[in-house]
Amino acid sequence: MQTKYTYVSIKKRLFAVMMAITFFLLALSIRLLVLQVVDSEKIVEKAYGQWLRDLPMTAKRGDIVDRNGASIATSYTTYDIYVRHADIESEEAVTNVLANATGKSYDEVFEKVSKRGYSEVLVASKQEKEVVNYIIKNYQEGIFFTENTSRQYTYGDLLTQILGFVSSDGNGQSGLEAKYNKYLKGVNGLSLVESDLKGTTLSSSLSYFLPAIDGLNVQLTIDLNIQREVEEIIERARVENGAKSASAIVMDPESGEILAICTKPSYDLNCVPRDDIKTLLELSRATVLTDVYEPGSTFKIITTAIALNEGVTSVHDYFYCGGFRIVNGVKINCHRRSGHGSQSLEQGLKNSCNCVFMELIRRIGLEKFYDYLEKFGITTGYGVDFPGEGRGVLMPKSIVKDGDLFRMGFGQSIAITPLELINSVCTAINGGRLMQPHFVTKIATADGNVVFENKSSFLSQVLSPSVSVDLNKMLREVVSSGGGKHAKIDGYDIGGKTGTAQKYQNGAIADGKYVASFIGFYPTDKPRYTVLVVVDEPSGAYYGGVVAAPVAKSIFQAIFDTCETPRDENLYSRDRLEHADIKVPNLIGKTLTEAVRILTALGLQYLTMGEGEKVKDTIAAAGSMVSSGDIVLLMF
Amino acid sequence: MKIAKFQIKKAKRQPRIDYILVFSVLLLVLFGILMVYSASYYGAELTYGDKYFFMKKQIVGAVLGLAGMVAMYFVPYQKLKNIRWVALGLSVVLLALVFVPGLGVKVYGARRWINLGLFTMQPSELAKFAFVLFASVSLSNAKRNVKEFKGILPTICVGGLICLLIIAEPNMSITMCVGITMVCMLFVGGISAKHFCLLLIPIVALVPVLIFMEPYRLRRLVAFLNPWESASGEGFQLVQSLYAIANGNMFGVGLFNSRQKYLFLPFAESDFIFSIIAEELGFLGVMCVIVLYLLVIWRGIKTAKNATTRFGCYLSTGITTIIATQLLINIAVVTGSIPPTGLPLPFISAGSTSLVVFMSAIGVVLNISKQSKI
Repeated sequence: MQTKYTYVSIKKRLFAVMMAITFFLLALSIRLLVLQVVDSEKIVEKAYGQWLRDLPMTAKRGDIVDRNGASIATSYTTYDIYVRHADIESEEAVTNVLANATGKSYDEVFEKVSKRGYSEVLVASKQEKEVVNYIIKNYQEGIFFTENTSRQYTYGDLLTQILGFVSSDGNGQSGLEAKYNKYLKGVNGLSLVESDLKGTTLSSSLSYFLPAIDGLNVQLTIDLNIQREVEEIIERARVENGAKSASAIVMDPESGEILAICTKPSYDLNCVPRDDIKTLLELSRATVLTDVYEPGSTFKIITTAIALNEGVTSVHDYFYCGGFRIVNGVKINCHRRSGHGSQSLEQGLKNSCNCVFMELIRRIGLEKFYDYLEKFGITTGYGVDFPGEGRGVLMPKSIVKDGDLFRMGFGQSIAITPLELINSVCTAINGGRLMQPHFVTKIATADGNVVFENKSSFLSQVLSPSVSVDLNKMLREVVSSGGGKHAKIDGYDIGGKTGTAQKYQNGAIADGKYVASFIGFYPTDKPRYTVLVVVDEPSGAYYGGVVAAPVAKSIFQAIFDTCETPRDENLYSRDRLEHADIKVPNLIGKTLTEAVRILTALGLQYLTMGEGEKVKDTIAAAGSMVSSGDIVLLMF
Repeated sequence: MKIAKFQIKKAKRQPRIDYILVFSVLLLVLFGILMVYSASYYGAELTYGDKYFFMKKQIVGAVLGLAGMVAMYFVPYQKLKNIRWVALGLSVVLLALVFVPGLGVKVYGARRWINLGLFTMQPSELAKFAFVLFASVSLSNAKRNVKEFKGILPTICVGGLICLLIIAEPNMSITMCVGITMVCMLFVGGISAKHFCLLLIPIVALVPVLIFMEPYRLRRLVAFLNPWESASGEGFQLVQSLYAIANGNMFGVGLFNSRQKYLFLPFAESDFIFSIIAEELGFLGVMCVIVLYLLVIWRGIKTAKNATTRFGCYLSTGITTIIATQLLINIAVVTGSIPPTGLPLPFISAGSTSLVVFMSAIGVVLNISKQSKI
């Protein structure tokens, strides 16, 4: 009986063990069912990331070209060449191909090819397409390429702040590169191949391929011929004047197109100083578009234009300047303390007499004046195609006292960007049409399909066209015989206005810190070029007429040279005569040596004609007036 | 006397082979060779330049295992009683040799293999069966004393010693396997409920101690609780295993088509071969495999039930329990149901020692079954 009892017990216990095992197997089967069927999709989704290797197919970044199609920025595709040791069939063959293709020595390449323990070894970087073509023709297992694009700026330090820079992953970080990034960037392609854990492509692998779409080419309004000259002139001006910075804008007042724009100091875009972020960011700011300053006397053009348009003055109007004006008990000085006396509007502009413009703005009145500033777009902005366009800063109308308003008349107590100044002046001189300043004329694909074209930049008619006729005549006089005469080029009909403004720091006038500026345009009858020069904190001379006007003159000269603008010969002769201040001496009867000595001493040049001992006659004749550097013909 | 006569009568009958068991096991072994090839050919080609590397070793193991199985089938299992001390002694010595520098092979921080010149072997594979043999003898000798503490003491002592030597390697999973087998054998052996409880308490208490003793076990435990958190670190293997299993879906991606064997899943041909089976053959495939195992276990338990001697009964129970335990732990690990620990899948995972020992053990079960009374 005892045996039987035990036997039954063993049977039961064995059954219990079997049941326990079956139970656990069943539980695990349910777990498997959940993993394999219920949650399968959710889990496998995560696995795709490791099964597929993503080969980058970078889109080529679009080019930036100037208005004539000349290259400003391009992107080159370069190739990095790798070997993956796990895939190599013959180290020698791979080495031979790579050494021949890259021009490196066999030993140098072999060292990399035979390196074990790395999934991929870089053999050569930044290789040209031809190298890759050679390798593909003589392909050996185990060689891989990656495509990279590097941005190349044709002139390096040119339009630095305007173009902006591109990050290493090919995204525009500032300036136009950032503004037009979505067009320039293109769409990266995608290439997925199945691979093992180490990234080795599986032989039976499926691949998914989506080609890259290259970025679009952007054509700027910039004229490289002018831009390159301006860059040089402005850098020279900054150095010669010991200025904190110097800037210039050249615009076409007819279209609002920016032909050249430059701020120095800057840096080379091909060699972005990424180590010093603070300096980089400081030097990357296009301050002429983003930062406001007190324009000073250059703003008098705007005051005059408004006054003419409102009919509160005319070219026949006369003003009196006693050297100051008392406004609500506060004395506001003219820069000439002794006063300019009685003067016409034109003389007021030539003398840059503050009293004239205080009177003009008194006649215009605060309300009208602010309305005009809005019409000029100074308070609203233009929608320039550039990131971070600045807006003018005006005192709230409610707190403007007469003194403030009168100062605004000659460009103080008001802050605008240099771009706003030049565009307002453009409006005043082009027949009263407010244009939208812009950088881009056209965006097109590599094969020429135009995606975007800036056809019309006309915003509104701000002034009556007749205003410009009167204004331009007066401004022409400012350059030919007024404060802007250092910008005068004989034979060219240039109008303009100088400006000298004190800088403010923390709400108070900063001692000895000035902004010297000059704004000019050519020709005065139908302006095609407007040039603004701003020299910030020059050391030494600081008057706009002395510091900025000669810079503008150089820029005009560069424009005339590069754009082959012939001078007006009649005007040239008249101009020469106007400042002829050397009386030709009587040289008849002198020997050549004597005559040359006398002429050289006077700063004149000479030519000889005929054969003889003594001078028989001269042209110009003795007693006539000539200018320094003129040629006197000696006849023997 | 009555029993003896009964036995003689049975012995005169044609010796019967448990065909279900034989076919299930041979099917598992052949399937194992195929799966070892499928799971390993890519890695073997890369590492050894021979995609058949693991498959060849597995075939050698299978041939030796078949020889062992046939041999054990013809050796009356009663004879094994006489070699229990030899087997136990040899196992303990081999387990100790693992720690001898030069002989013991250290892999992944654990000394589990010894180098015998021609081949390496895992003494723990042998030790677990030596323990089963010893425990079967000891429990059958104890007879009614099994209800008393002194009757189970030798089994517990020897089991404890073997566990101690294996955990020192360290090898948590085979220790667990031996421990569970010991508990099952004592249970079937008729241990009293009181002793059974007294035995379980320290074993259960030991698990956290062992886990906190080795920092890597704790890290694995944490990784197990949320493998996705550390998918590239501690949880890597488990995540890779889950990818494989999930990728299998209902019908699998097809034989040889696993994606995870491309180096993603470590030990794809050995401890994690079940995941590859799940990936290639799907839920239906693994259910077939589980059914085959259930057949083996069922026949093993049935053999134990019908064994003519207590010794045979316990021996068959022990062998079957080891197979079942390893199977359960392996599947639990690869499905992320318990913390990862390396334990081969019986008959299938690459590893010749394991294969030879398991197949020989099946030979023993076949012999017990051949002598059974029904």
